[in-house]
Amino acid sequence: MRQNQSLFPYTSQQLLSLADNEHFARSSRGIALPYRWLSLGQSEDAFWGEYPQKDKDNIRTQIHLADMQMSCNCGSKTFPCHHALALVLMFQEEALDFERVSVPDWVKAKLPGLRQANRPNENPRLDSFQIKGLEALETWLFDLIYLGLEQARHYPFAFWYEMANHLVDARLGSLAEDLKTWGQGVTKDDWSRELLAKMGKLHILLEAFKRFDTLDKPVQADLLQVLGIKPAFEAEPIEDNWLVIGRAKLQTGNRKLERIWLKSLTTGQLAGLEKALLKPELSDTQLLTGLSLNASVHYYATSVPLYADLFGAYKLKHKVGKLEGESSIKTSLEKVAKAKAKNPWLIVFPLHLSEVSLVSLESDWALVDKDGYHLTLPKRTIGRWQMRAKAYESGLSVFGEYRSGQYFPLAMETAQGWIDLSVLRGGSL
Amino acid sequence: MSFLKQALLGVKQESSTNAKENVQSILQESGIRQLYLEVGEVAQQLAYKGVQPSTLDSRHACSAEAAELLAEILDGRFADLLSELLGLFRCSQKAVPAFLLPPLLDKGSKVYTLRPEIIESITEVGHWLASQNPDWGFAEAPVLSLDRLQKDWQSTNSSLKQGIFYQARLQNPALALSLMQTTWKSETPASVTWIIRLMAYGLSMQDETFLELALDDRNLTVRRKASELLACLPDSRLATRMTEVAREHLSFDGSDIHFEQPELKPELLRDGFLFRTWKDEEKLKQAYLSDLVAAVPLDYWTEAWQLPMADLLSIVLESSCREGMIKGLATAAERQTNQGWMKALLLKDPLSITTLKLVNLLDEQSFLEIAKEFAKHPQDNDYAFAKAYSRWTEAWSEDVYDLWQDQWESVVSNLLTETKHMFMLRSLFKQAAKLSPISRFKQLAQTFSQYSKQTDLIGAIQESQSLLKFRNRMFQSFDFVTPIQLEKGKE
Repeated sequence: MRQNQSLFPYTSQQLLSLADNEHFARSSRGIALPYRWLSLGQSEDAFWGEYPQKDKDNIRTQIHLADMQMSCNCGSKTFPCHHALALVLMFQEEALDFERVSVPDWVKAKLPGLRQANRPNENPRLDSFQIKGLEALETWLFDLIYLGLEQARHYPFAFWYEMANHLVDARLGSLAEDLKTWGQGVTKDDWSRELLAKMGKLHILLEAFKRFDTLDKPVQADLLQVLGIKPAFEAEPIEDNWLVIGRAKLQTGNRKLERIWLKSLTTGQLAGLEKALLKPELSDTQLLTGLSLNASVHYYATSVPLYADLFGAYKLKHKVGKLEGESSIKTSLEKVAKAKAKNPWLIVFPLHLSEVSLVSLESDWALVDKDGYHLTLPKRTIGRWQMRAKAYESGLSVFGEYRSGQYFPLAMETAQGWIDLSVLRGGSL
Repeated sequence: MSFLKQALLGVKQESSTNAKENVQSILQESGIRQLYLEVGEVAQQLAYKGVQPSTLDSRHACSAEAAELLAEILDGRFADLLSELLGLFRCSQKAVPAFLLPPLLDKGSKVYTLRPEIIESITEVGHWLASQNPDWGFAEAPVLSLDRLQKDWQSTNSSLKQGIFYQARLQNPALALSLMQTTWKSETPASVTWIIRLMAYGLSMQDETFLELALDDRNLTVRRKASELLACLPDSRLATRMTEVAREHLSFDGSDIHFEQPELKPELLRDGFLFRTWKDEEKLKQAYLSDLVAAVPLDYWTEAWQLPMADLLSIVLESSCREGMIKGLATAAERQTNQGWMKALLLKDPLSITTLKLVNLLDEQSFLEIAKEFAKHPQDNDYAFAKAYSRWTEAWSEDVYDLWQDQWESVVSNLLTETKHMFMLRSLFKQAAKLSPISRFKQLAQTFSQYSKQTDLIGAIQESQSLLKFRNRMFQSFDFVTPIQLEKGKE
């Protein structure tokens, strides 16, 4: 066991999962060598380092221990930057290289306070901008059908983007990103059929908003979530031991989302912490796959309690030990169908599957359970070969998101704990 | 008319009241239909039931720390330590974690010299996984099957062929030779070059007939390499022919050695003599002498000239043929991996440009013997002691380490005075960190910290400290050592 494991529970693989991509991880690793740094220091609250630059001021990087907030003056647009990532890797591997000295002024000046989750409004509603935006969207949908989709096939991209931008201005960004994709693939035979399906679904959503006040509270919450508005919480939070079982980072157009999935170690209940990354540094650097925490999770009062927020301080530790998931894909999809029947606007379903294996079916890869039911994986899924090996070794336990008819694996269980698939390398076919 | 058809054509022809209602019903109908389809999604079933987990592996899971270190090495950090870490996996009977098998097998497919170690380190899961991906076929079984060998040998992928041929040469040289001969005549010039180079692995008299034929190949590289390889076999026909040439043209009269340059007949050129157009006759003579001596079995000299090895070398060093003889003898000792000759050459001509290459071929006992000799006067022969240690790349035993530790202080203080030796000094630090035995880690760490304020060495010392700490973590992760508090990296 490392000397600083209780203070800093992360493994280097967990820290590398923060890297933007494989090359970024590798280059950060290249400067994670103590002798390349001018100074490395630590105190009770933070650790820091100064990295030399030719003909320029030294780069100053610091990490706040309590919540892993990272700050660096290198000006990189990527978060965390090479320096911050290298610094945490060095601290994880050899904390002794960091001298215990008094905190320099430049570190003190930047020591941040603990991040506070924003509590949502008790009674969230649409504002006037959003209502007008929805009205404009309804008219636009009407016009599209009125003139015919065959004509819409010839519209330029700007046509779709114009409406999308209008929705962004009306603070309806979550609807806008999908709309930008409507003009893609117009030459496909199925384009108009698929477009009409999307338009129809959107129409039903608009109709629901027209009757918003007459709907039950959970249904109202479901609708608000579609627009990215945080609904009210359930009455009581759940205090429990949770495992960070997977992290997903998605980008649709300019919109970046981060989802962290927690699984209760006592009840097996899943909770998603979803956040729009308006700035890269808003990304959570603390809750990394494979860590466990004792924390209060407060679910949003939606018809299918899935998304939540985390409150209060918590202590993280590395979790090793078998965790049971659902061994039947059929049952899992039945649960998905039930959830969808309650809330048709849910598009992401977390699935923890156990005792499954991975096979290649002509051009696709699929997870197969012992009864032969399968879920296809997107092409170029990272970690396919690792999952395949794990299935043969001792059975595969994998966590991922089921969306758009495909399973997107995020993490898998190993004898050494849960690992984020994004850090895995090797196997090109 | 279906709602899709209506949506495609539009409803503008209809009256305004109807149009609005129609648009609404089209959208509503398609929306409800879509929701119905989504909610009704069911799992698809295959006839295939997936793989059953293996039950054959007896090796236990390694610690999280060991897995992490292997991942770091496979990611390129301290990549040189991969062999050592795989050795730890093997001797502790721990299985390489399944999630690290793909990058490990990828490494083996690219660096074929690592394959034997990789194959020994992986378990049944690794072999099974390797059999699923054509790039990893080399590891599908502990011993390469004839089927795999034949299949990969037919491939057009040159790196795949090279790797499989290398493995086959290590496992079954005769089989590799016979397979290679089936396609030898149709191979491209680039291929024959690497094939002949890889023949060096598992070389034996079974290859002699093929190599004799290769002496007549139209490709110069093939001819040269074939003659080199035949010179490694003291019982080869080429060695016999060269011995005859040596008997005719090289003599010892009891006090000096005489060499009469042979006429460059086609037979000699075929046997590896190089045609040179140099004007310096003395240089030319020494070069031909070297060509000849390098291809003669080493035992010939002591038998024919009836001199012990050491005396013979003393005479060689005093003779007019010194340059060509020493170069030739060093090459012959290297080719025939003759420890006695290597040791004698290194002691008589300590670490000259000619004999330097022999250090790395010494076994531990021979290395210790020469190092002890050099240690008597470490500054002599341009710091032969330090040079020998910086060139030897085998893992250091405790004896090797202790000898180094005894001399270290005086060696460093002397080397520090000469700028030209800084490079050697830095590489010595790194060699020590990389090769020292675990029982001496603490001592070594203290030695490093002594020099950590030496301005010229800071970089090398810190780099070596990092390397030593990493190795320490490696051994700790397999419970081979109790945690040692190594000195801090920065003072």
